[in-house]
Amino acid sequence: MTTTFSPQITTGQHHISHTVEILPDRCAGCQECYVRCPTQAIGFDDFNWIVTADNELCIGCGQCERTCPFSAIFVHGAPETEPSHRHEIAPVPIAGRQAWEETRPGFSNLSQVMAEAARCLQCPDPTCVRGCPAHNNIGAMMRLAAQGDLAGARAVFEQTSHLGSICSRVCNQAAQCEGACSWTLAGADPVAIGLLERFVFDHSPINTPAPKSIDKKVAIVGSGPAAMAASWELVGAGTKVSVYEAALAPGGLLNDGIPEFSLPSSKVREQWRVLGDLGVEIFLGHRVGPDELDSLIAKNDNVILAIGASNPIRPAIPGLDGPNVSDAMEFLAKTGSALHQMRDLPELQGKTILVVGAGNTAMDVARMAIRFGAKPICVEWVNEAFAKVRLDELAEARAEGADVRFCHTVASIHGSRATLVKTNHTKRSKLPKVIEGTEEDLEVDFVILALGYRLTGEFSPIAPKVPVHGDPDEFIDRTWLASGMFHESHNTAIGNTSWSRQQLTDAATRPFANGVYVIGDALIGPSTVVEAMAQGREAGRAIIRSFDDTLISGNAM
Amino acid sequence: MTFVTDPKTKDNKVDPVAVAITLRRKAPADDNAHFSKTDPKFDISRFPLVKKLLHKRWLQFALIVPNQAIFWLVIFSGLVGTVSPGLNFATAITWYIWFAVVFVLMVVVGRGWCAMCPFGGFGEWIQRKTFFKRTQTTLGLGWKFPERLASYGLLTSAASFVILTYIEEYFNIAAPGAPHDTAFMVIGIVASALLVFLLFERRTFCRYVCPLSSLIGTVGAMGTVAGFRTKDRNACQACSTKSCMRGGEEGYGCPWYTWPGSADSNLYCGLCTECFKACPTDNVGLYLQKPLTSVIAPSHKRMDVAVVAAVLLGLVAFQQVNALGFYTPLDNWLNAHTYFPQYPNPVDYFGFMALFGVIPALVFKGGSMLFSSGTIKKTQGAFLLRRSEFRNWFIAGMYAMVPAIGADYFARQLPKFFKHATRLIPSVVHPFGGTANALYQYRLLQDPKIIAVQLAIMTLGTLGSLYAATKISRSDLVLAKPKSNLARIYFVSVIVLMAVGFTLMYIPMQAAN
Repeated sequence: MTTTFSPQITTGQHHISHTVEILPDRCAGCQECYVRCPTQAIGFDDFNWIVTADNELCIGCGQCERTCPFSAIFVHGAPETEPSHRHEIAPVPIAGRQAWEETRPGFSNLSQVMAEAARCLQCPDPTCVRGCPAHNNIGAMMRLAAQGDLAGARAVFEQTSHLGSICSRVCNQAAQCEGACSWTLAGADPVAIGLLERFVFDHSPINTPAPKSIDKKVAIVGSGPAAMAASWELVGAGTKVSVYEAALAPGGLLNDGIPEFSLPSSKVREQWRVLGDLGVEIFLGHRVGPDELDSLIAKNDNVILAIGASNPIRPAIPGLDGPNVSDAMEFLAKTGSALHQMRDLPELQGKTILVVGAGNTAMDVARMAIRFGAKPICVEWVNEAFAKVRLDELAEARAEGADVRFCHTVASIHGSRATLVKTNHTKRSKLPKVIEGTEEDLEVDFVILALGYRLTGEFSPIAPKVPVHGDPDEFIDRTWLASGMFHESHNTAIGNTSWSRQQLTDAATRPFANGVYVIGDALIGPSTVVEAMAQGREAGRAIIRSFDDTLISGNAM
Repeated sequence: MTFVTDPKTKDNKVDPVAVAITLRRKAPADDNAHFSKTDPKFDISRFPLVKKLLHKRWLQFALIVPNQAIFWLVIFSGLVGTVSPGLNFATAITWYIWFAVVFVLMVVVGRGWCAMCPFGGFGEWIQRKTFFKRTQTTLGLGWKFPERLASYGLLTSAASFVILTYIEEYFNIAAPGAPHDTAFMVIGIVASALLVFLLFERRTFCRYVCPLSSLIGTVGAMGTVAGFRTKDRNACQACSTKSCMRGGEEGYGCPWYTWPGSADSNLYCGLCTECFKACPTDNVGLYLQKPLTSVIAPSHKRMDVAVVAAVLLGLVAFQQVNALGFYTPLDNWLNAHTYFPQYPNPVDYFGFMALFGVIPALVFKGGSMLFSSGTIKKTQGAFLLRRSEFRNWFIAGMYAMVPAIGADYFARQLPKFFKHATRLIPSVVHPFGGTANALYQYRLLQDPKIIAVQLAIMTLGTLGSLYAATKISRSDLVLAKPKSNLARIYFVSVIVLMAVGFTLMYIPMQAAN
C-alpha cells in the first residue's frame, strides 16, 4: 500500500493522470512488474496470461517499465508525489553564522520527518538500498520513521551502519541512495533519505552490542571510517581489537579532512568513545611502519590495514617547490585545529589563496580559507558539466564567496605570480586541452594543491601499490539488473556506479595477503566515507566468518 | 507480502542486498492447470550428450555457418554466374531446394529454419559483435519495436511476406527469372535484416519484420518440437533473476521475447538455445511434442495467428489460381484496362488473395451468427485481446485450417522440386566447365505422379485439419447448449469442405510450376 498521495486524490477528486500500456504481444506473464509495483496497480489476467494495470492506482513511478525484461509495459504521465519537505528547511544565513557552525541544517521537527518519511513508496525491490554502498535497509527505516519511532529506525540502520550521524552529513546522497530512489529514477524529488538519517541518528541513543568474548585478536592500523566499521563488527562478535593511529586523535580523515562546519568532530569522537568503552584498545600517536607489520601479524589472528591514501598528487607545474605551496590536508589540519581552538590565523587574513582543483576537498579548503579572512580562487581544468564535485557543496562555496573557475588550469608559478590558462573541454571521455594565448597572471599569496591523493605503497606487497579498480566488463548480478536501476531511462548512470562500488566492497572481503585485509582508501584509492565504512564492515564480517570456519573445522578434528 | 531470497547462482554468489527485498507474492493463478494441455513431457535435454551440446555456445554458429556460406555463394553466383537460370547455383539452390527444405523443417520441427537462418544470424553476429561468445554489450541503437505496430503481433511480418511475394512475382525472380534477381533479393533481405538488427534490440527483425516469420510461426505450429520450456514452473515464477529473459552469464536474454516459463506453443521459440544456457538453475529443457499440439492445445489462441492464416491462405490460393487456364487472359485483360505493364496485376493479385482470405472469415462469421453462444461480450482494447462471437469462431477455425494451409504451401512448391531439384548438380559443376545434361533434364517425378503426390499431401493436410477442427471445436469453441452439436458439425464440415476445395484445385493445375 502506498503512503503517498497526490493533491488531487487527497482533495477527494478522482484524478487519473497516468495510463499504463501493456503490450499483449510481448508480455510473457512473468509477473516481474506485478511483484514490484509499490501500489499494487498491477494485476494479472490468467486467461491471457498477461498482467493488467489499474490506472487509478498508478502513481507513475515507472518501476514496472524499468523492471520488465521484455519492454512490454509503458507508463505515460508524470510521477505523482508531493514535493520533498526538504524544501521547507530554511538555509542558515551566511551573515552572522559562526565559523564552526554547521552550514547545512537538518529537519527541525518530528512532523516534518514523519511527513517526509511517508513519501517513501516502500518499493518491494528498493533501488535506494542498492544505491547505498552500505545497503542500509532504507525502506524499513522509513516505515518506522514515518511512525515517529526514531529508536526503531536507528536500530534498523545499525544492522548495517553505526556511522549514520557521519554518513548522513558527508555522503553525496544524490549519487547514492537518493540518486537511486524510485522517485528520482522517475524524474521526481527523491525522499530526503540523508536528512532523515541525520535526524534519526541525532535524536536517538546509540545502541551497543551485548558483551561477548572469543579468543581472537585483530589489529587495525588506522582509525578512519573503515577502521570504525570493522571495529564495530569485530567487537560485536567478541574479538579483541587493537587500533593503531599515527595521529593524536582517532578518526583519520574524518578529523582533519572534513571541516567542523560540514561534520562536527563530536560525531567522530562519540564513535571512538563508545568503541573504547566496548573494549577496543586504541594506541594513539603510534605509527605502524612496514617493519612493525610483521610483528603485528605474528601477535594477532588478523591485521586490517585501513591507512587511507595520503600521498598528495603533485602536478608537473613549474614553480611548485616554492615555500608558499602546500597540500590541502596540511592546510585543513592547520586551519581545523585553529578553528577548534577558536584562534585566528593572521597570516591568512586578506590573503589570496590559489586552490588547484575544484573537488570536494578543494571546496573545503576554499571555505576554510574564507573563514580565516582569505580570498580563495579554485581552478579546475575540467568542464563544470563533467566535474565530480558535490553540487550542493559547490553552490555553498560559491555563495560564501569562493571564486571557482572551471576550464582553467595553472601554467606556472613564479614566487607570488601564478599564470592561469584556459582549457577547452567538450567531451567527458577526453582530457581537456590548454588554449594557447589565454594566459592570465594572478598575484597569489599561497597555493594549495587539492588534486587528490595516491596510495603511499609503503606496505607493498602486503597492501596494494596502486588502487584496485572495479571491472567495467564484470557481469552484472541479475538480481541487480532486475531491480530496474540499469534501465536506460532518466538518470540511470547510478546503476553502473552502484554496481562498481559493490565490486570494490566485495574486493575488501578477500584478504590481500595471508591474514591481512586492506580496506578503504588504502585499497581503492581516494573514495567516500560510506564506501570505506561498508568495506570495513564487510572485511570485519569476512574475518568473523573465517573464525567460524576455523572453529567448525577445529571441532571436526 | 512474501519474503523472497534468491536461489544461489552457479558460482555460489548471493545477492548482497537480498535482505531488503520483500516482493509481493505472485498472482494467485493455477499455473499447472493453465498450462496442463500445452506442457510437453519429453525433454531431450535430459540426455547428457544433448545437454552438453546445447550448452555449447558455438552450437548455433555451427548451424548457421553452412547456410551463411551457401547464401554468400548465391549472391556471388547470381551476380557473376551464367544468366541461364537452370545452370546457375543461385536459382537452383534457392528455388528448387531451399524452399522445399524450409517447408519440411517447418512442418516437422517448427522454427527449425530460424535456428540456422543465415540472414538473422548475420545480423545477430554484428549486433552482438561476436560469432558466438556471450558479450555484455551490443552494437546498434537498441530501439524497441514501436508499440503500436508490435501490438499487432505477427501481422507486420505477414505484410512483408505479401509484399515480398508480390515483388518476387512481379520480377519473376523465382519462376525462374534471371539469377542476378535472386542475388539482389538475397542482398535486399540481408541488408534489411542488418539494418533492423542495428536499429532495434534483440531479434526484432525475426519476430516482427522477417517475411518468413509469420509463415513459419503459423505453419510451424504443426511441428513436433515444442521448443525450450520450463521444467518446473514454480521455480520459474519464483526466480528473481529471470536470466532467460534478461540474459545470464552464459546466455543472452531470449532474442525472440519468449519466456520458457509461460510459452504454450512453439510460435515464438527460435530454438536458439540462449535461455537454456542462461538459466542459472538448469530449469529449461528442450521438449518434443505430438504433431499438431501447438495448433490444438494453446488455451489462448491468438488473433494475429488467425489473421495470418487467412492471409497465407489467400496468398497460396492466388498461387493456385494463377496456375489455372483462365488466369492469364484475365490478368492480360486487367493489365490492358488498368494500363499496368505486366503480370501480376495488383488488382487480381490482391483481389484473389482478399477473396480467398475473406471466404473463411465469412464462413466463420456465418457460423458465429447461426450458432451465437450469446455469452461472449464484445470487448474493445488491444487487438490481440478483444473478444467477440466472430473471433470465437474465426480464431478457432483458422487454427484448425493451419494443417491444410501448410499442406497447400508444400504441395504448391513440389512441382519445382520434382522437376528441377537435380539441376543443383549441373549448376555446381557448370562454373568449372563441367556438364551434367542428363541430370539437367532429369525429373524426380513426372507430371501425373506429381499431381498424385500433391493430392496425397493435401489429403494429409485435410485430415490434419479435420482432426484439429474436431479437437478445437470441443476445447475452444464457445457454444450454447441446444445447438452445440449442430454447430460443431458445421464448424468441422466447413473446414473440411474448404480444405477439399483447395485440394481439388490441384487437378486442373496440372503440376504447374
